[in-house]
Amino acid sequence: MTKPPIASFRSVSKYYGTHCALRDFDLDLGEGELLTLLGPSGCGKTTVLRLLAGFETPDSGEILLDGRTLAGVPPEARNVNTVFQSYALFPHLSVFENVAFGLRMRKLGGAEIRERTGSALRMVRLEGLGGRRPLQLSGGQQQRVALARALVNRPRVLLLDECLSALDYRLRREMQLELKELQRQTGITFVFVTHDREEALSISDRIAVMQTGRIEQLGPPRDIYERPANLFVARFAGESNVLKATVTGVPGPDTLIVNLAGTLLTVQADRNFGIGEKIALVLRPEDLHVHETPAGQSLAGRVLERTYRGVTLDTLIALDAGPRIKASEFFREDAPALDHPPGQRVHVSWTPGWEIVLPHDAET
Amino acid sequence: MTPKPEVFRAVAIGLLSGWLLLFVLTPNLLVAGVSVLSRNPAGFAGAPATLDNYRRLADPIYLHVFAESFTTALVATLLCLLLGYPFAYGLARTRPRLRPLLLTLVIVPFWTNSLVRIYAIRGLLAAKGAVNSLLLAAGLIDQPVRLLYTQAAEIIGLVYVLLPFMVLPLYGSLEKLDPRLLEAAQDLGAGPFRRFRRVVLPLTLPGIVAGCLLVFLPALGLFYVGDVLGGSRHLLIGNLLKDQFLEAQDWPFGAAASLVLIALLLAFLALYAVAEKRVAATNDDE
Repeated sequence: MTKPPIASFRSVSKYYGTHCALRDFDLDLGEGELLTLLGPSGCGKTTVLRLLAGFETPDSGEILLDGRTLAGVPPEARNVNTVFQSYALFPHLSVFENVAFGLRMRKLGGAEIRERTGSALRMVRLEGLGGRRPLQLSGGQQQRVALARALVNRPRVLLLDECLSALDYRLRREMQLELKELQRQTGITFVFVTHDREEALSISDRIAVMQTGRIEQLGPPRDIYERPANLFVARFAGESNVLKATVTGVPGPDTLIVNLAGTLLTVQADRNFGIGEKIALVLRPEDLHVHETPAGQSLAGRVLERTYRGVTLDTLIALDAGPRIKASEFFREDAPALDHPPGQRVHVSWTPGWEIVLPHDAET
Repeated sequence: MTPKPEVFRAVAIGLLSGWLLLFVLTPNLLVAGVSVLSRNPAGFAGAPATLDNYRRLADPIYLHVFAESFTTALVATLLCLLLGYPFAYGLARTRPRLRPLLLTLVIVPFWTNSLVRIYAIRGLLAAKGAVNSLLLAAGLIDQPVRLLYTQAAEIIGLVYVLLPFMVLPLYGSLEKLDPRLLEAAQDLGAGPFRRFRRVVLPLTLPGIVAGCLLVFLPALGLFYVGDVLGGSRHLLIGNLLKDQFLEAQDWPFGAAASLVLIALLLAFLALYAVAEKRVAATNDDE
């Protein structure tokens, strides 16, 4: 990043009792980016938001906003706003007054409040509903009120805490697009917390995958999905078939010969491994092709089960080498024979180089 | 044979209306009827019909009792609110496991008859009571101060007896208050005072009103508090009513006084209802 970061975490740690929520956490937020904190529950992602909003104070380390420390600055004095998971709309105030709340706290003039609140409501397509009470709105509309209430203050950073998780699937997709669009329009930096990988992959400029209070990998969605730093990220970023193998030869740079339970495979690796080292071979289900006859480098097995999923046909295969793997194939004109009956002997192949080779951590 | 839902509904509504008719409407109509009769030494009330009882109420003596009683009740209510609100707030914010215990402690005094407790207060406030002894021992005063038979003693007694009626409804509404709303207000730039003024207060207003009504209404009528702590000089409306019925045997006048009290209370409730609608309306047009 060439521009200085808007906000930075400098080796921040946070404990709840003896439980460590964040450990030596470092993160820089860029101007106008949409950064997603992705991780399972309890990984510390919400703690990051609460620390930046000011609801929690770090036990050690420092948080900066526009180069100034936030130590001792209460939430009400931070130019940061939050869209809460529960929305936390004020039930006793109208939609208009909910959105105007932050502006009234800043003692702006009546005309400016009306104008800015009105345009915030237009932005989230709720014009005309300003007189309603929050409880008279649908979930999606409440979500938009919460967004408008935060955005109307033009914060330096907007924090979104799993705020789409209460919506149904279709509405959620819609709101994801809308969020991305709002973020582009306003140019405000968004920090979005979620445990939904599809959501993270589809809307983010950058994703920080978190586990037990640390960032496992930080990068653009494509890097996270295609070049995961470790097995945890690989599994969390998408469906994965993980196969254990041993390196038996290093014929050239970035190329390995590995032994997968007796089958020798040539694979591409973007890091160095020594002979005898254990590796994990990660294959995404959608990268796999299933044939009834051997085709190039492939793994042999037997079909266990098929699941028709509309867009794809999923096949569960028991490899002769032992593990089970799943293949998700798209219906295409040039591949008519997708439907292999259970019990059928098959060979699984993939485009050379699309495999991911990772060190085999203790964690499997 | 199982009774049909309509039958059940008819029976339930019938019982309820019968009860209200018999024990609420009829007595009040009787009181209203008696209030326009004359005093009759032989019975309780008799002919001729008259409005004299109401005219007598306009006497400055009685107006004074009404005014003083309302002031006493009002001060006691405000004190209960000032003491009860922080108390209920603390109660609603303690760890959930502690709350039942603390709530029980609020309710425990009810297990002792309130008349007995009022006599205990009298013991504390007497010239040679605990409070005076303590003040004398501490050297704050040279001779006992007069505490008993003052308006202050009456107010202390009322606050003591009625505080739980303030705390419980307040606790009910404060406990329901979602702490995340306070975080949201803080996030939007509201400091402690404005969080209270803009979020906590409006959302707990029903509890405040309920508590105030539950304290104010009995405070007007708890005649034994007036008898035991206020003495003869500080009458509550309750004392006035009791005296007319039991001491003076003037039922028609007592009935007139109690009807006027009911009318005044209904006027208060109506005022409150109107005020509340106004508040709701202003919130809506802004």
